[in-house]
Amino acid sequence: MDDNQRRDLFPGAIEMMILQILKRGPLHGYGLAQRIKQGSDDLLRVEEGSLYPALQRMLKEGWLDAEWATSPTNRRIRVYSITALGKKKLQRELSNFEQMIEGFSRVMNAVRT
Amino acid sequence: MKWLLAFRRWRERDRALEEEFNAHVEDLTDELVSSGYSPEEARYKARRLFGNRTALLEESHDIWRLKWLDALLRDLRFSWRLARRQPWTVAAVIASIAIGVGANAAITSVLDTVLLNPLGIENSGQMIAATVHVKKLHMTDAESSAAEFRDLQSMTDVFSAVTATEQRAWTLQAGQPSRLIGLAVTPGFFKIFEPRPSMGRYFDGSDTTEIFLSYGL
Repeated sequence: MDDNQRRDLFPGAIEMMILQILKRGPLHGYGLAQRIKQGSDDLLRVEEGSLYPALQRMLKEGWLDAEWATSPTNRRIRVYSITALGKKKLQRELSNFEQMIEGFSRVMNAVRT
Repeated sequence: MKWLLAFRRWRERDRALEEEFNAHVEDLTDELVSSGYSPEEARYKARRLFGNRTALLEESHDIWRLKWLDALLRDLRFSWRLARRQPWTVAAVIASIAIGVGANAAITSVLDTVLLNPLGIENSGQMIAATVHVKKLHMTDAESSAAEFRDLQSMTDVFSAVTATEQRAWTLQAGQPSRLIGLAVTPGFFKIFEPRPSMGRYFDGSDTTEIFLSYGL
């Protein structure tokens, strides 16, 4: 996919993806970016750096924990993991999101018929 | 102290974030190299994929920052840059402030010694001069009597010391007679005006035959 042709995500989408990915296990920033790229089959390409402000925001909210570690490539990295608060937040966000999609598709269908 | 600590934490967070950025870009470069890019191309592309580092740092500042401290620092930095660019203007401003403050200080100290507190009394604000007015006789600043002075003196819970003075003239008979103009004072006088005698001590009322001389004699 061409770099210039990026999909705009709705607000909070990056946070939701990060929380969902971290539920499976701790990861560092680069790892998260890889997961998002691979998981979306390259359909979504978030500007990789934009993960970090999102991570900072979530650290501040207490949804994540961070710890310094050394990567397999021998670089000092910060590994993020989800907190109990983060899990609760994800639950809430997912149900909100489902409601939003439901409402959205109902409107679309109603207009089509 | 608290804001200093916060400021340090803020700097540390910045450094940590930059370290993370570096590691990320290097990992990304490695990935691109292994998928066939030349090292330089990979580095360039990795930077581009990562995005604008400065903007990202700014965004993270927005998340953590102490708004007032940040604004203050920015103002200081801005004024410093302005000052650096116009050294003569700054010099003029500083000079005019310095002269203004200096002149004010000089005038105030002159006023203080000439008008406000010419005698240099330590607690001049706590000092009261009692005068006698007799309205029926249309007398102002009338002389007070010894009885009135005693009354005042007995109000020890109000005043720490009370004194009365009276202008007097004496004749000094030492060869050529000369006229001395001075004050007759009660012992409390020295408690109030607090000069330090260079020799001996002041009279305190216990002895009625004491004398206090100045070098002028």
